[in-house]
Amino acid sequence: MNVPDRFYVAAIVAGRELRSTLYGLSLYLTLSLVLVTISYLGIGGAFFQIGQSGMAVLSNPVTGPFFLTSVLMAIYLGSGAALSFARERERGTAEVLFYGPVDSISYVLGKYLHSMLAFMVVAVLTSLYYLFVSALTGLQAGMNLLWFGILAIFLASAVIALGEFFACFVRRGMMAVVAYLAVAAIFILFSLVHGWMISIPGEQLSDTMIYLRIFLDRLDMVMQWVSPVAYFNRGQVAVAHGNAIAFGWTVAELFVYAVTLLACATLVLRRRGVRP
Amino acid sequence: MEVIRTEHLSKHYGPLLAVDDLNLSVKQGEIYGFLGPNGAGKSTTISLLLGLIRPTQGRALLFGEPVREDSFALKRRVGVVGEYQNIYGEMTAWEYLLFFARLYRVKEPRKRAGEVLAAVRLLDRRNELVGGYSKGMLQKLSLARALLHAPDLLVLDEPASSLDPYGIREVREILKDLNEQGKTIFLSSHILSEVERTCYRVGILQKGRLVAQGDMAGLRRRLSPEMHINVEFAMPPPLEEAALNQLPWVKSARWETPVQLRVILSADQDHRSDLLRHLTEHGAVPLEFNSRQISLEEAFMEITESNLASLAASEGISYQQAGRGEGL
Repeated sequence: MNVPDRFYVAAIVAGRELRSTLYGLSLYLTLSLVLVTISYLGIGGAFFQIGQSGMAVLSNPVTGPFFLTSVLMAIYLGSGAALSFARERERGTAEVLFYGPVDSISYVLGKYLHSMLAFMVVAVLTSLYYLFVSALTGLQAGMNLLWFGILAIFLASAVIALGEFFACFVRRGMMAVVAYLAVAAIFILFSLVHGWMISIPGEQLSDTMIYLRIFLDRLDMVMQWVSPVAYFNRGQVAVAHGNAIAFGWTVAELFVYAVTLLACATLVLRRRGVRP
Repeated sequence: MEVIRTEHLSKHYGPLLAVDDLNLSVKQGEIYGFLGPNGAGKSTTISLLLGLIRPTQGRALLFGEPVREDSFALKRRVGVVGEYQNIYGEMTAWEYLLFFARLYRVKEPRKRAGEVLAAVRLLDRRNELVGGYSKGMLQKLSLARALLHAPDLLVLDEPASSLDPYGIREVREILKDLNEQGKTIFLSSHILSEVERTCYRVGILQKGRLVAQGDMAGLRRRLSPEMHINVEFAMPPPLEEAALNQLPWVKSARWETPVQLRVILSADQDHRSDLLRHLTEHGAVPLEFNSRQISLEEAFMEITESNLASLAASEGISYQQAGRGEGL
């Protein structure tokens, strides 16, 4: 068994799914829905502010909506990866693949490749859409769009790997999606609550609130490593400050995060087996 | 050459012993029937053979090599039809086979896909979505997928369970053709008449243990130490029942009617020619001479029930309770 053989198998597995995804409607419908909603809130909000104050408050009003669209689509594709992974085991189609030249590594890699390629298609469509919006409205897109684009790709990679990892533990498609979305919601909620807590001046906090803040600070030390939202926040700050080294570190961390989760998913799948 | 070999293969699921110290051997060119009641451990054994699950003890060898999940070259030599037909419903049969042809690196995939679809008589339905296929058609498509890469070993788990009599016949002919080409076939089935018609050797699994293994003739000899013969004559022959009963290889002889004789022969050897010679030497003219041997179904029932009975006896419970579930 050699590495090129494994990549070949992974590419075949990914190709079948990608074909099904790209010929289906759900990806485009979801992307359209996300674009319309984010454009209404983000771009529409920018125009509202211009209307109110007579000037653009943000220097790059297109970048935020672009990045948010990418993150939401990454979460969607992550849940899709979890669903597809668990459903294939549930229906037994994965077992049929394993009769032949497919093993846990090539299977996990194939599923990951599929979701990443689908995300690339989404990223291109999203970029084209926001460049079109920029040209149409005169709102500046700027170079940040490129950096946020790169960050979005690595973030999507981590989020998709997280979806596959959770799907390894369950044998029901819907269970996998629910578990994945629940964990994603916990990460996002933690980031929001912790952000809100640290924004409150210390003298305004009650004793209970202080203990809660200390607990959340401790928990945040773990979340900095396990939550993709933490990487997202670090990356966003690095781009906003133009800190190339911090940006590079964040991207590298996201890469390691994704590889670690994929390796764990492979081990879990190998241990638990592929049978329904 | 041994194509399949298991050495003390065991698989535990918690306290449940699904496969117990299994030693199997299937040689090249054989059609081996793997039998057992529901829950005997047949599908678990097949999963172990294919490296889908890991054994608790022992090992499984295919073509002399231990089977691992990543034994790609080895797995490309095996074609499998699983117990359930798990096929991507959103693909057409043609797309499905081309996908697997690429996976197995089949040369001339389109030509080969056409050949196997024609063999299972699905060529004219190749552009229909598999989701709309009947169970029998899905089973045929699974067989086509298993044949696609011209494997040296075919592992079939209940390959005819959803097929109509025409389909069963087609599958039987395909298997015989493959066997004539030197392919080895490992067939797990409940359709005992099919196994009897197709297989050279059988193994009977019960509660994870191989309780019998051998060729059909050997199994029959083991299970039935006598052979039943019915002879019909043109006219009543001058033969006394008592004289027949004194022949050393006759266990019992009885005239059913003046022209119908029923004889039970000792099965230590084949004494049919001795009986026929004896009859003709005494002026009898047989019109029909039928010997009835134990069928595979009878052998299967005999072996599995006697095994259950001995198991029940060892555990101090009645056979009715142990074997049939009555009174539990």
